[in-house]
Amino acid sequence: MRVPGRIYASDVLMEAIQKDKCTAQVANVAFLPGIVNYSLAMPDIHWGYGFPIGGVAATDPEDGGVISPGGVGYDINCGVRVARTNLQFPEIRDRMEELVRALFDVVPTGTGAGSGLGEGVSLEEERALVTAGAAWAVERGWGVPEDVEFCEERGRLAGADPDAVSSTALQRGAKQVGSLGSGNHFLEIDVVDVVYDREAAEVFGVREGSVVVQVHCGSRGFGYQICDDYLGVMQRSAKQYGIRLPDRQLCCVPVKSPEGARYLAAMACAANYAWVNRQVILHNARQAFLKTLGIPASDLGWRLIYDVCHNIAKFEPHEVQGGIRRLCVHRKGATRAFPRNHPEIPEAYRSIGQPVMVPGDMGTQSFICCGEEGSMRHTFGSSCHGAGRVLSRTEATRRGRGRSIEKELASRGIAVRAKAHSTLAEEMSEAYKNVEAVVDVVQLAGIARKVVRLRPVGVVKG
Amino acid sequence: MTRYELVDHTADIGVVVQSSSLTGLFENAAYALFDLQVNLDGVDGVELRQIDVEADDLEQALVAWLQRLLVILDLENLVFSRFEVAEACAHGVRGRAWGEKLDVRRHELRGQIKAVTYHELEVKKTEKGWRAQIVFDV
Repeated sequence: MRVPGRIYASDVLMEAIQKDKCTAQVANVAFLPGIVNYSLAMPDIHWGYGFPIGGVAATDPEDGGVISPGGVGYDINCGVRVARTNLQFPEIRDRMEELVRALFDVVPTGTGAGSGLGEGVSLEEERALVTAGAAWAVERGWGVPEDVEFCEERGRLAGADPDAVSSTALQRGAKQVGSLGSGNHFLEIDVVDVVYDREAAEVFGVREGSVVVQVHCGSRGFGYQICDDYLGVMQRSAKQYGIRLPDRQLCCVPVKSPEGARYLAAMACAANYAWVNRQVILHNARQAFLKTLGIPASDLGWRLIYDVCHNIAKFEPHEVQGGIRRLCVHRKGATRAFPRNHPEIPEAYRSIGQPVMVPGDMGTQSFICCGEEGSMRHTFGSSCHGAGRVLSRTEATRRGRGRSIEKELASRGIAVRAKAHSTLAEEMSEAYKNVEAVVDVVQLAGIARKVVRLRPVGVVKG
Repeated sequence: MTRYELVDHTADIGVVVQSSSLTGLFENAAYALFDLQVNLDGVDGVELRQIDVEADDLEQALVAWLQRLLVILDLENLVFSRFEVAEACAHGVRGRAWGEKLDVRRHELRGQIKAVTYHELEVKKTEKGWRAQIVFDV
Protein backbone atom coordinates (compact mmCIF):
# COMPACT_ATOMS: atom_id res chain seq x y z
CA MET A 1 0.00 0.00 0.00
CA ARG A 2 1.37 3.40 -0.98
CA VAL A 3 -1.12 5.34 1.17
CA PRO A 4 -3.52 4.41 3.99
CA GLY A 5 -7.17 3.63 3.38
CA ARG A 6 -9.90 5.74 4.96
CA ILE A 7 -13.54 4.67 5.15
CA TYR A 8 -16.25 7.11 6.25
CA ALA A 9 -18.82 5.18 8.26
CA SER A 10 -20.68 4.88 11.53
CA ASP A 11 -20.23 1.90 13.85
CA VAL A 12 -23.48 0.37 12.61
CA LEU A 13 -22.56 0.77 8.94
CA MET A 14 -19.04 -0.50 9.59
CA GLU A 15 -20.45 -3.78 10.83
CA ALA A 16 -22.10 -4.42 7.45
CA ILE A 17 -19.12 -3.07 5.53
CA GLN A 18 -16.76 -5.53 7.18
CA LYS A 19 -18.90 -8.47 6.12
CA ASP A 20 -17.92 -8.29 2.46
CA LYS A 21 -14.68 -7.89 0.57
CA CYS A 22 -14.87 -4.14 0.02
CA THR A 23 -12.31 -3.30 2.71
CA ALA A 24 -9.73 -5.42 0.86
CA GLN A 25 -10.63 -3.46 -2.25
CA VAL A 26 -9.89 -0.18 -0.45
CA ALA A 27 -6.47 -1.64 0.35
CA ASN A 28 -5.94 -2.77 -3.26
CA VAL A 29 -6.68 0.72 -4.60
CA ALA A 30 -4.01 2.09 -2.25
CA PHE A 31 -1.42 0.35 -4.47
CA LEU A 32 -2.16 2.59 -7.49
CA PRO A 33 0.97 4.50 -8.58
CA GLY A 34 0.76 8.22 -7.83
CA ILE A 35 -2.20 7.95 -5.44
CA VAL A 36 -2.44 10.97 -3.13
CA ASN A 37 -3.25 11.05 0.62
CA TYR A 38 -5.69 8.14 0.99
CA SER A 39 -7.61 5.41 -0.76
CA LEU A 40 -11.02 6.73 0.24
CA ALA A 41 -14.43 5.13 0.64
CA MET A 42 -17.79 6.74 1.24
CA PRO A 43 -20.30 5.24 3.76
CA ASP A 44 -22.25 3.50 0.96
CA ILE A 45 -19.16 1.40 0.20
CA HIS A 46 -19.76 -2.18 -0.87
CA TRP A 47 -17.99 -4.90 -2.80
CA GLY A 48 -17.61 -4.09 -6.48
CA TYR A 49 -15.08 -5.26 -9.06
CA GLY A 50 -11.57 -3.75 -8.78
CA PHE A 51 -12.43 -0.54 -6.95
CA PRO A 52 -15.00 -0.80 -4.18
CA ILE A 53 -18.29 0.87 -5.04
CA GLY A 54 -18.19 4.13 -3.10
CA GLY A 55 -14.45 4.43 -3.72
CA VAL A 56 -12.56 7.67 -4.39
CA ALA A 57 -8.90 7.83 -5.41
CA ALA A 58 -6.98 10.86 -6.62
CA THR A 59 -3.69 10.43 -8.47
CA ASP A 60 -1.13 13.08 -9.32
CA PRO A 61 -0.20 13.01 -13.04
CA GLU A 62 3.01 14.95 -12.24
CA ASP A 63 4.08 12.21 -9.87
CA GLY A 64 3.54 9.15 -12.09
CA GLY A 65 -0.19 9.14 -11.25
CA VAL A 66 -2.29 6.63 -13.17
CA ILE A 67 -5.68 6.44 -14.79
CA SER A 68 -7.56 3.18 -14.21
CA PRO A 69 -10.64 2.27 -16.29
CA GLY A 70 -11.63 -0.06 -13.43
CA GLY A 71 -11.71 3.01 -11.18
CA VAL A 72 -14.40 4.48 -13.41
CA GLY A 73 -16.28 1.29 -14.16
CA TYR A 74 -18.05 -0.17 -17.18
CA ASP A 75 -20.97 2.20 -16.87
CA ILE A 76 -19.00 5.39 -17.50
CA ASN A 77 -20.84 8.46 -16.18
CA CYS A 78 -23.56 6.46 -14.59
CA GLY A 79 -25.36 9.22 -12.76
CA VAL A 80 -28.54 10.77 -11.45
CA ARG A 81 -30.67 13.59 -12.82
CA VAL A 82 -33.64 15.09 -11.05
CA ALA A 83 -36.26 17.59 -12.23
CA ARG A 84 -38.75 19.56 -10.16
CA THR A 85 -42.36 20.29 -11.11
CA ASN A 86 -45.15 22.62 -9.95
CA LEU A 87 -47.22 19.57 -9.05
CA GLN A 88 -48.24 18.76 -5.50
CA PHE A 89 -48.67 15.06 -4.78
CA PRO A 90 -52.43 15.17 -3.94
CA GLU A 91 -53.05 16.50 -7.47
CA ILE A 92 -51.67 13.34 -9.09
CA ARG A 93 -52.16 10.67 -6.42
CA ASP A 94 -55.02 9.08 -8.36
CA ARG A 95 -53.18 9.25 -11.68
CA MET A 96 -50.06 7.42 -10.49
CA GLU A 97 -50.70 4.06 -12.23
CA GLU A 98 -51.41 5.93 -15.45
CA LEU A 99 -48.27 8.08 -15.15
CA VAL A 100 -46.02 5.11 -14.42
CA ARG A 101 -47.46 3.25 -17.41
CA ALA A 102 -46.87 6.31 -19.60
CA LEU A 103 -43.24 6.57 -18.43
CA PHE A 104 -42.73 2.85 -19.02
CA ASP A 105 -44.04 3.29 -22.58
CA VAL A 106 -41.78 6.20 -23.56
CA VAL A 107 -38.55 5.03 -21.92
CA PRO A 108 -37.12 1.74 -23.23
CA THR A 109 -35.99 -0.48 -20.33
CA GLY A 110 -34.16 -3.78 -19.94
CA THR A 111 -32.50 -6.06 -22.48
CA GLY A 112 -33.01 -5.47 -26.21
CA ALA A 113 -35.26 -2.48 -25.62
CA GLY A 114 -33.92 -0.17 -28.34
CA SER A 115 -33.60 3.60 -28.28
CA GLY A 116 -35.76 6.38 -26.91
CA LEU A 117 -35.16 8.06 -30.28
CA GLY A 118 -36.98 5.46 -32.35
CA GLU A 119 -34.42 3.79 -34.58
CA GLY A 120 -31.53 5.34 -32.69
CA VAL A 121 -28.89 7.51 -34.35
CA SER A 122 -26.56 7.09 -37.34
CA LEU A 123 -22.88 6.46 -36.58
CA GLU A 124 -22.08 9.91 -37.95
CA GLU A 125 -24.62 11.56 -35.65
CA GLU A 126 -23.32 9.52 -32.77
CA ARG A 127 -19.82 10.90 -33.28
CA ALA A 128 -21.29 14.40 -33.03
CA LEU A 129 -23.36 13.42 -29.99
CA VAL A 130 -20.42 12.01 -28.02
CA THR A 131 -18.37 15.12 -28.75
CA ALA A 132 -21.06 17.67 -27.85
CA GLY A 133 -22.81 16.01 -24.87
CA ALA A 134 -26.17 17.22 -23.49
CA ALA A 135 -26.28 20.26 -25.80
CA TRP A 136 -26.59 17.85 -28.76
CA ALA A 137 -29.95 16.67 -27.46
CA VAL A 138 -31.16 20.15 -26.51
CA GLU A 139 -30.35 21.49 -30.00
CA ARG A 140 -32.53 18.76 -31.46
CA GLY A 141 -35.51 19.51 -29.24
CA TRP A 142 -34.99 17.09 -26.34
CA GLY A 143 -34.91 19.66 -23.59
CA VAL A 144 -34.34 23.37 -23.08
CA PRO A 145 -31.05 25.33 -23.06
CA GLU A 146 -31.21 25.78 -19.24
CA ASP A 147 -30.89 22.01 -18.84
CA VAL A 148 -27.26 22.18 -19.92
CA GLU A 149 -26.48 24.81 -17.28
CA PHE A 150 -27.65 22.43 -14.54
CA CYS A 151 -25.52 19.44 -15.51
CA GLU A 152 -22.14 18.72 -13.93
CA GLU A 153 -19.56 19.96 -16.49
CA ARG A 154 -22.49 21.54 -18.35
CA GLY A 155 -23.17 18.09 -19.75
CA ARG A 156 -19.97 17.91 -21.74
CA LEU A 157 -16.60 16.56 -20.64
CA ALA A 158 -13.82 18.24 -22.62
CA GLY A 159 -11.31 16.24 -24.64
CA ALA A 160 -13.74 13.75 -26.16
CA ASP A 161 -12.36 12.18 -29.33
CA PRO A 162 -14.53 9.65 -31.19
CA ASP A 163 -11.42 8.38 -33.00
CA ALA A 164 -10.36 6.87 -29.67
CA VAL A 165 -13.57 4.79 -29.62
CA SER A 166 -13.89 1.37 -31.32
CA SER A 167 -16.44 0.82 -34.05
CA THR A 168 -18.03 -1.87 -31.84
CA ALA A 169 -18.66 0.68 -29.10
CA LEU A 170 -20.18 3.12 -31.59
CA GLN A 171 -22.39 0.39 -33.05
CA ARG A 172 -23.60 -0.67 -29.60
CA GLY A 173 -24.30 2.92 -28.61
CA ALA A 174 -26.15 3.93 -31.78
CA LYS A 175 -29.17 1.80 -30.92
CA GLN A 176 -29.45 2.64 -27.24
CA VAL A 177 -29.63 6.43 -26.85
CA GLY A 178 -32.45 7.33 -24.49
CA SER A 179 -32.75 3.91 -22.83
CA LEU A 180 -32.64 3.06 -19.14
CA GLY A 181 -30.93 -0.32 -18.92
CA SER A 182 -31.49 -2.70 -16.03
CA GLY A 183 -30.23 -3.63 -12.54
CA ASN A 184 -30.28 -0.70 -10.13
CA HIS A 185 -31.19 1.84 -12.84
CA PHE A 186 -34.58 3.46 -12.45
CA LEU A 187 -36.92 6.23 -13.45
CA GLU A 188 -38.90 7.41 -10.46
CA ILE A 189 -41.61 9.82 -9.43
CA ASP A 190 -40.93 11.10 -5.91
CA VAL A 191 -42.57 13.40 -3.40
CA VAL A 192 -40.63 15.76 -1.17
CA ASP A 193 -41.64 14.56 2.29
CA VAL A 194 -39.13 16.32 4.57
CA VAL A 195 -37.36 19.65 4.09
CA TYR A 196 -34.20 20.09 6.17
CA ASP A 197 -32.85 23.25 4.57
CA ARG A 198 -35.60 25.68 3.55
CA GLU A 199 -33.31 28.14 1.81
CA ALA A 200 -31.72 25.50 -0.43
CA ALA A 201 -35.09 23.81 -1.10
CA GLU A 202 -36.43 27.16 -2.22
CA VAL A 203 -33.53 27.54 -4.63
CA PHE A 204 -34.33 24.05 -6.00
CA GLY A 205 -37.98 25.17 -6.31
CA VAL A 206 -39.45 22.49 -4.04
CA ARG A 207 -41.35 22.31 -0.73
CA GLU A 208 -43.17 19.58 1.21
CA GLY A 209 -45.46 17.70 -1.16
CA SER A 210 -43.67 18.76 -4.36
CA VAL A 211 -43.45 16.13 -7.09
CA VAL A 212 -40.00 15.54 -8.60
CA VAL A 213 -38.81 13.06 -11.22
CA GLN A 214 -35.51 11.26 -10.91
CA VAL A 215 -33.54 9.06 -13.30
CA HIS A 216 -30.51 6.87 -12.62
CA CYS A 217 -28.62 5.44 -15.60
CA GLY A 218 -25.43 5.80 -17.63
CA SER A 219 -23.74 5.25 -20.97
CA ARG A 220 -25.24 1.83 -21.76
CA GLY A 221 -23.36 -0.55 -24.12
CA PHE A 222 -21.29 2.34 -25.48
CA GLY A 223 -19.56 2.88 -22.13
CA TYR A 224 -19.33 -0.83 -21.28
CA GLN A 225 -17.52 -1.48 -24.57
CA ILE A 226 -15.07 1.40 -24.08
CA CYS A 227 -14.19 0.11 -20.62
CA ASP A 228 -13.71 -3.44 -21.90
CA ASP A 229 -11.63 -2.29 -24.90
CA TYR A 230 -9.28 -0.28 -22.71
CA LEU A 231 -8.98 -2.94 -20.00
CA GLY A 232 -7.50 -5.08 -22.80
CA VAL A 233 -5.14 -2.31 -23.89
CA MET A 234 -4.04 -1.50 -20.35
CA GLN A 235 -3.41 -5.08 -19.27
CA ARG A 236 -0.77 -5.24 -21.98
CA SER A 237 0.58 -1.72 -21.38
CA ALA A 238 0.70 -1.89 -17.58
CA LYS A 239 3.45 -4.51 -17.85
CA GLN A 240 5.50 -2.18 -20.06
CA TYR A 241 5.21 0.55 -17.46
CA GLY A 242 6.24 -1.91 -14.75
CA ILE A 243 2.91 -1.59 -12.91
CA ARG A 244 1.93 -4.60 -10.79
CA LEU A 245 -1.38 -4.65 -8.91
CA PRO A 246 -3.21 -7.09 -6.65
CA ASP A 247 -6.34 -7.20 -8.85
CA ARG A 248 -6.32 -7.43 -12.63
CA GLN A 249 -9.44 -5.27 -12.84
CA LEU A 250 -7.39 -2.35 -11.44
CA CYS A 251 -5.03 -2.32 -14.43
CA CYS A 252 -3.90 1.19 -15.25
CA VAL A 253 -1.34 3.30 -17.08
CA PRO A 254 0.20 6.70 -16.29
CA VAL A 255 -2.15 9.61 -17.06
CA LYS A 256 0.77 11.02 -19.03
CA SER A 257 1.08 8.15 -21.49
CA PRO A 258 -0.35 7.69 -24.99
CA GLU A 259 -2.64 4.88 -23.75
CA GLY A 260 -3.83 6.99 -20.82
CA ALA A 261 -4.57 9.97 -23.06
CA ARG A 262 -6.49 7.76 -25.48
CA TYR A 263 -8.59 6.18 -22.75
CA LEU A 264 -9.42 9.62 -21.31
CA ALA A 265 -10.53 10.81 -24.78
CA ALA A 266 -12.76 7.74 -25.14
CA MET A 267 -14.04 8.00 -21.55
CA ALA A 268 -15.07 11.61 -22.21
CA CYS A 269 -17.10 10.38 -25.21
CA ALA A 270 -18.92 7.91 -22.95
CA ALA A 271 -19.48 10.59 -20.32
CA ASN A 272 -21.06 12.79 -22.99
CA TYR A 273 -23.16 9.88 -24.27
CA ALA A 274 -24.52 9.37 -20.75
CA TRP A 275 -25.53 13.03 -20.43
CA VAL A 276 -27.38 12.79 -23.73
CA ASN A 277 -28.99 9.58 -22.53
CA ARG A 278 -30.33 11.15 -19.33
CA GLN A 279 -31.28 14.32 -21.23
CA VAL A 280 -33.43 12.33 -23.68
CA ILE A 281 -34.95 10.11 -20.98
CA LEU A 282 -36.08 12.97 -18.75
CA HIS A 283 -37.32 14.97 -21.73
CA ASN A 284 -39.40 11.99 -22.85
CA ALA A 285 -40.63 11.63 -19.26
CA ARG A 286 -41.67 15.30 -19.30
CA GLN A 287 -43.64 14.76 -22.51
CA ALA A 288 -45.33 11.73 -20.93
CA PHE A 289 -46.40 13.89 -17.95
CA LEU A 290 -47.80 16.61 -20.23
CA LYS A 291 -49.70 14.13 -22.37
CA THR A 292 -51.07 12.06 -19.49
CA LEU A 293 -52.15 15.00 -17.36
CA GLY A 294 -53.28 17.13 -20.33
CA ILE A 295 -51.86 20.31 -18.84
CA PRO A 296 -49.77 23.08 -20.46
CA ALA A 297 -46.01 23.14 -19.90
CA SER A 298 -46.32 26.33 -17.83
CA ASP A 299 -48.56 24.51 -15.33
CA LEU A 300 -46.23 21.53 -15.13
CA GLY A 301 -43.27 23.82 -14.43
CA TRP A 302 -40.73 21.10 -15.19
CA ARG A 303 -37.17 22.30 -14.49
CA LEU A 304 -33.94 20.42 -14.06
CA ILE A 305 -32.53 20.67 -10.53
CA TYR A 306 -29.23 19.02 -11.37
CA ASP A 307 -27.46 16.12 -13.07
CA VAL A 308 -24.47 14.45 -11.38
CA CYS A 309 -22.15 11.67 -12.49
CA HIS A 310 -20.99 9.03 -10.04
CA ASN A 311 -18.68 6.84 -12.20
CA ILE A 312 -15.99 9.07 -13.64
CA ALA A 313 -12.38 10.26 -13.56
CA LYS A 314 -11.89 14.03 -13.69
CA PHE A 315 -9.07 16.53 -13.46
CA GLU A 316 -9.59 18.94 -10.62
CA PRO A 317 -7.36 21.30 -8.62
CA HIS A 318 -7.09 20.23 -4.98
CA GLU A 319 -4.99 21.38 -2.07
CA VAL A 320 -2.34 18.85 -1.13
CA GLN A 321 0.23 19.58 1.58
CA GLY A 322 -0.28 23.33 1.32
CA GLY A 323 -0.04 23.54 -2.47
CA ILE A 324 -2.60 23.26 -5.26
CA ARG A 325 -2.21 20.25 -7.52
CA ARG A 326 -4.22 19.19 -10.54
CA LEU A 327 -5.29 15.67 -9.66
CA CYS A 328 -7.03 12.89 -11.56
CA VAL A 329 -9.95 12.11 -9.24
CA HIS A 330 -11.52 8.67 -9.77
CA ARG A 331 -15.06 8.43 -8.43
CA LYS A 332 -16.43 4.89 -8.60
CA GLY A 333 -19.88 5.10 -7.11
CA ALA A 334 -19.20 8.50 -5.56
CA THR A 335 -20.60 11.93 -6.35
CA ARG A 336 -18.85 15.25 -6.69
CA ALA A 337 -19.95 17.50 -3.81
CA PHE A 338 -18.48 20.95 -4.31
CA PRO A 339 -19.35 23.49 -1.62
CA ARG A 340 -20.76 27.04 -1.73
CA ASN A 341 -18.94 29.54 -3.97
CA HIS A 342 -17.05 26.90 -5.93
CA PRO A 343 -16.49 28.29 -9.43
CA GLU A 344 -17.47 24.99 -11.09
CA ILE A 345 -21.07 25.03 -9.91
CA PRO A 346 -23.94 26.97 -11.52
CA GLU A 347 -24.36 30.59 -10.45
CA ALA A 348 -27.80 29.76 -9.02
CA TYR A 349 -26.25 27.32 -6.52
CA ARG A 350 -23.21 29.33 -5.43
CA SER A 351 -24.96 30.35 -2.22
CA ILE A 352 -26.07 26.81 -1.26
CA GLY A 353 -23.49 24.41 -2.71
CA GLN A 354 -23.73 21.81 -5.46
CA PRO A 355 -26.75 19.51 -5.35
CA VAL A 356 -25.77 15.92 -4.50
CA MET A 357 -28.38 13.29 -5.32
CA VAL A 358 -28.35 10.24 -3.09
CA PRO A 359 -30.99 7.77 -4.20
CA GLY A 360 -31.97 5.07 -1.73
CA ASP A 361 -33.90 1.97 -2.69
CA MET A 362 -37.18 1.91 -4.60
CA GLY A 363 -39.27 1.31 -1.49
CA THR A 364 -38.06 3.82 1.07
CA GLN A 365 -36.46 7.18 0.42
CA SER A 366 -33.83 9.25 -1.38
CA PHE A 367 -32.07 12.47 -0.44
CA ILE A 368 -30.96 15.58 -2.21
CA CYS A 369 -28.03 17.09 -0.36
CA CYS A 370 -25.67 19.99 -1.01
CA GLY A 371 -21.87 19.89 -0.99
CA GLU A 372 -20.08 21.27 2.08
CA GLU A 373 -16.61 22.66 2.79
CA GLY A 374 -15.38 19.42 4.35
CA SER A 375 -15.48 17.69 0.98
CA MET A 376 -12.65 19.89 -0.28
CA ARG A 377 -10.56 19.24 2.83
CA HIS A 378 -11.13 15.52 3.23
CA THR A 379 -12.53 13.72 0.16
CA PHE A 380 -11.31 15.53 -2.95
CA GLY A 381 -14.73 17.17 -3.27
CA SER A 382 -16.65 13.87 -3.14
CA SER A 383 -19.62 12.37 -1.31
CA CYS A 384 -21.70 9.20 -1.28
CA HIS A 385 -23.86 8.19 -4.27
CA GLY A 386 -26.59 5.97 -2.83
CA ALA A 387 -27.56 3.58 -0.08
CA GLY A 388 -25.14 0.82 -1.01
CA ARG A 389 -26.13 -2.81 -1.18
CA VAL A 390 -26.05 -5.01 1.85
CA LEU A 391 -27.50 -8.23 0.42
CA SER A 392 -26.13 -10.06 -2.60
CA ARG A 393 -28.46 -10.37 -5.56
CA THR A 394 -28.74 -14.12 -5.00
CA GLU A 395 -29.68 -13.63 -1.34
CA ALA A 396 -32.24 -10.98 -2.28
CA THR A 397 -33.72 -13.34 -4.88
CA ARG A 398 -33.93 -16.10 -2.22
CA ARG A 399 -35.76 -13.76 0.13
CA GLY A 400 -38.09 -12.68 -2.67
CA ARG A 401 -39.33 -16.21 -3.43
CA GLY A 402 -43.08 -16.57 -3.01
CA ARG A 403 -43.50 -12.83 -2.52
CA SER A 404 -44.93 -10.23 -4.88
CA ILE A 405 -42.69 -7.20 -4.53
CA GLU A 406 -45.13 -5.24 -6.77
CA LYS A 407 -47.96 -5.88 -4.31
CA GLU A 408 -45.81 -5.09 -1.30
CA LEU A 409 -44.82 -1.77 -2.86
CA ALA A 410 -48.41 -1.06 -3.92
CA SER A 411 -49.56 -1.55 -0.32
CA ARG A 412 -47.08 1.19 0.64
CA GLY A 413 -48.47 3.52 -2.03
CA ILE A 414 -45.77 2.93 -4.64
CA ALA A 415 -46.81 2.06 -8.21
CA VAL A 416 -44.12 0.02 -9.98
CA ARG A 417 -43.55 -1.40 -13.45
CA ALA A 418 -40.54 -3.51 -14.43
CA LYS A 419 -39.48 -5.26 -17.60
CA ALA A 420 -38.08 -8.25 -15.69
CA HIS A 421 -39.82 -9.40 -12.51
CA SER A 422 -36.59 -10.83 -11.13
CA THR A 423 -35.17 -7.28 -11.04
CA LEU A 424 -37.74 -6.31 -8.41
CA ALA A 425 -36.63 -9.03 -6.00
CA GLU A 426 -32.96 -8.21 -6.52
CA GLU A 427 -33.68 -4.54 -5.89
CA MET A 428 -35.98 -4.96 -2.86
CA SER A 429 -35.55 -2.53 0.03
CA GLU A 430 -33.95 -5.14 2.31
CA ALA A 431 -31.09 -5.48 -0.20
CA TYR A 432 -29.91 -1.97 0.63
CA LYS A 433 -28.47 -0.18 3.61
CA ASN A 434 -30.56 2.49 5.27
CA VAL A 435 -29.82 5.48 3.05
CA GLU A 436 -30.47 7.92 5.88
CA ALA A 437 -27.71 6.30 7.94
CA VAL A 438 -25.38 6.80 4.98
CA VAL A 439 -26.34 10.43 4.48
CA ASP A 440 -26.04 11.13 8.21
CA VAL A 441 -22.39 10.09 8.06
CA VAL A 442 -21.51 12.51 5.26
CA GLN A 443 -23.42 15.25 7.06
CA LEU A 444 -21.58 14.57 10.30
CA ALA A 445 -18.27 14.58 8.45
CA GLY A 446 -19.09 17.99 6.93
CA ILE A 447 -18.92 16.62 3.38
CA ALA A 448 -22.56 17.31 2.41
CA ARG A 449 -25.75 18.33 4.20
CA LYS A 450 -29.31 17.13 3.81
CA VAL A 451 -31.65 19.49 1.96
CA VAL A 452 -34.73 17.38 1.24
CA ARG A 453 -35.89 13.80 1.63
CA LEU A 454 -37.83 12.17 -1.19
CA ARG A 455 -40.38 9.37 -0.96
CA PRO A 456 -40.95 7.23 -4.07
CA VAL A 457 -44.53 6.99 -5.37
CA GLY A 458 -43.99 5.67 -8.90
CA VAL A 459 -41.11 3.49 -10.11
CA VAL A 460 -40.01 2.22 -13.53
CA LYS A 461 -37.31 -0.48 -13.58
CA GLY A 462 -35.50 -2.50 -16.25
CA MET B 1 -26.84 -31.29 -13.64
CA THR B 2 -26.75 -27.52 -13.27
CA ARG B 3 -24.24 -25.96 -15.59
CA TYR B 4 -23.19 -23.22 -13.20
CA GLU B 5 -23.47 -22.21 -9.56
CA LEU B 6 -24.10 -18.74 -8.21
CA VAL B 7 -21.57 -17.28 -5.79
CA ASP B 8 -22.58 -14.47 -3.45
CA HIS B 9 -21.38 -11.05 -4.53
CA THR B 10 -22.83 -7.88 -3.03
CA ALA B 11 -23.33 -5.69 -6.09
CA ASP B 12 -22.81 -8.00 -9.03
CA ILE B 13 -23.22 -11.68 -9.91
CA GLY B 14 -20.52 -14.26 -9.28
CA VAL B 15 -20.64 -17.71 -10.89
CA VAL B 16 -18.56 -20.86 -10.72
CA VAL B 17 -18.58 -23.16 -13.73
CA GLN B 18 -16.98 -26.57 -14.03
CA SER B 19 -16.43 -29.13 -16.77
CA SER B 20 -14.32 -32.18 -17.54
CA SER B 21 -12.81 -30.30 -20.50
CA LEU B 22 -11.66 -26.76 -21.15
CA THR B 23 -13.95 -26.45 -24.17
CA GLY B 24 -16.86 -27.63 -22.02
CA LEU B 25 -15.93 -25.04 -19.41
CA PHE B 26 -16.18 -22.25 -21.96
CA GLU B 27 -19.53 -23.62 -23.18
CA ASN B 28 -20.92 -23.73 -19.64
CA ALA B 29 -19.70 -20.19 -18.92
CA ALA B 30 -21.52 -18.94 -22.03
CA TYR B 31 -24.65 -20.79 -20.93
CA ALA B 32 -24.47 -19.08 -17.54
CA LEU B 33 -24.04 -15.67 -19.19
CA PHE B 34 -27.31 -16.05 -21.10
CA ASP B 35 -29.30 -18.10 -18.58
CA LEU B 36 -28.86 -15.27 -16.07
CA GLN B 37 -30.43 -12.85 -18.54
CA VAL B 38 -33.21 -14.88 -20.16
CA ASN B 39 -34.94 -18.17 -19.31
CA LEU B 40 -33.25 -20.34 -21.96
CA ASP B 41 -35.91 -23.07 -21.85
CA GLY B 42 -37.90 -21.09 -24.37
CA VAL B 43 -35.02 -20.09 -26.66
CA ASP B 44 -34.63 -22.00 -29.94
CA GLY B 45 -31.34 -22.48 -31.72
CA VAL B 46 -32.36 -21.29 -35.17
CA GLU B 47 -29.60 -18.75 -35.75
CA LEU B 48 -25.93 -19.68 -35.77
CA ARG B 49 -22.93 -17.43 -35.19
CA GLN B 50 -19.27 -18.38 -35.50
CA ILE B 51 -17.13 -16.69 -32.85
CA ASP B 52 -13.35 -16.43 -33.00
CA VAL B 53 -11.45 -14.33 -30.47
CA GLU B 54 -7.79 -13.84 -29.67
CA ALA B 55 -6.19 -13.45 -26.25
CA ASP B 56 -2.92 -13.28 -24.33
CA ASP B 57 -3.82 -15.83 -21.65
CA LEU B 58 -6.57 -18.23 -20.64
CA GLU B 59 -8.48 -15.81 -18.39
CA GLN B 60 -8.50 -13.18 -21.09
CA ALA B 61 -9.67 -15.80 -23.61
CA LEU B 62 -12.67 -16.56 -21.39
CA VAL B 63 -13.53 -12.86 -20.99
CA ALA B 64 -13.10 -12.20 -24.72
CA TRP B 65 -15.36 -15.14 -25.68
CA LEU B 66 -18.12 -14.11 -23.30
CA GLN B 67 -17.75 -10.44 -24.08
CA ARG B 68 -18.12 -11.13 -27.82
CA LEU B 69 -21.35 -13.01 -27.14
CA LEU B 70 -22.65 -10.03 -25.13
CA VAL B 71 -21.81 -7.70 -28.01
CA ILE B 72 -23.84 -9.86 -30.42
CA LEU B 73 -26.77 -9.74 -27.98
CA ASP B 74 -26.56 -5.93 -28.00
CA LEU B 75 -26.02 -5.49 -31.74
CA GLU B 76 -28.28 -8.19 -33.15
CA ASN B 77 -30.67 -8.77 -30.26
CA LEU B 78 -29.76 -12.47 -30.42
CA VAL B 79 -30.04 -14.67 -27.33
CA PHE B 80 -28.00 -17.88 -27.42
CA SER B 81 -28.96 -21.13 -25.76
CA ARG B 82 -26.50 -23.68 -27.24
CA PHE B 83 -22.73 -23.45 -27.54
CA GLU B 84 -20.02 -25.55 -29.11
CA VAL B 85 -16.40 -24.64 -28.49
CA ALA B 86 -13.97 -26.30 -30.91
CA GLU B 87 -10.84 -24.81 -29.41
CA ALA B 88 -10.03 -22.88 -26.24
CA CYS B 89 -6.51 -22.01 -25.20
CA ALA B 90 -4.39 -19.11 -23.94
CA HIS B 91 -4.23 -17.67 -27.46
CA GLY B 92 -7.95 -17.54 -28.03
CA VAL B 93 -11.24 -19.32 -28.65
CA ARG B 94 -13.02 -20.76 -31.69
CA GLY B 95 -16.64 -21.61 -31.10
CA ARG B 96 -20.20 -21.50 -32.33
CA ALA B 97 -23.41 -20.36 -30.69
CA TRP B 98 -27.04 -21.05 -31.60
CA GLY B 99 -29.96 -18.91 -30.57
CA GLU B 100 -32.76 -16.69 -31.76
CA LYS B 101 -33.93 -13.08 -31.76
CA LEU B 102 -35.09 -11.91 -28.36
CA ASP B 103 -38.86 -11.60 -28.24
CA VAL B 104 -40.12 -10.12 -24.98
CA ARG B 105 -43.60 -11.51 -25.60
CA ARG B 106 -42.30 -15.09 -25.64
CA HIS B 107 -39.06 -14.98 -23.69
CA GLU B 108 -38.87 -14.55 -19.94
CA LEU B 109 -36.36 -11.80 -19.18
CA ARG B 110 -34.24 -12.04 -16.04
CA GLY B 111 -31.56 -9.41 -15.46
CA GLN B 112 -29.18 -7.69 -17.79
CA ILE B 113 -25.43 -8.25 -17.65
CA LYS B 114 -23.38 -5.20 -18.53
CA ALA B 115 -19.96 -6.81 -18.76
CA VAL B 116 -17.65 -9.68 -17.88
CA THR B 117 -15.09 -8.46 -15.35
CA TYR B 118 -11.54 -9.55 -14.51
CA HIS B 119 -12.22 -9.21 -10.79
CA GLU B 120 -11.32 -12.46 -8.97
CA LEU B 121 -11.36 -14.15 -12.36
CA GLU B 122 -9.90 -17.64 -12.26
CA VAL B 123 -9.56 -20.49 -14.75
CA LYS B 124 -8.00 -23.53 -13.05
CA LYS B 125 -7.28 -27.16 -13.74
CA THR B 126 -8.73 -29.39 -11.03
CA GLU B 127 -8.64 -33.11 -10.30
CA LYS B 128 -11.93 -33.56 -12.14
CA GLY B 129 -11.26 -31.23 -15.05
CA TRP B 130 -11.58 -27.45 -15.18
CA ARG B 131 -13.12 -24.79 -12.97
CA ALA B 132 -13.71 -21.09 -13.61
CA GLN B 133 -14.91 -18.28 -11.39
CA ILE B 134 -16.35 -15.17 -13.03
CA VAL B 135 -17.94 -11.95 -11.78
CA PHE B 136 -20.47 -10.33 -14.11
CA ASP B 137 -21.20 -6.61 -13.78
CA VAL B 138 -24.96 -6.06 -13.62
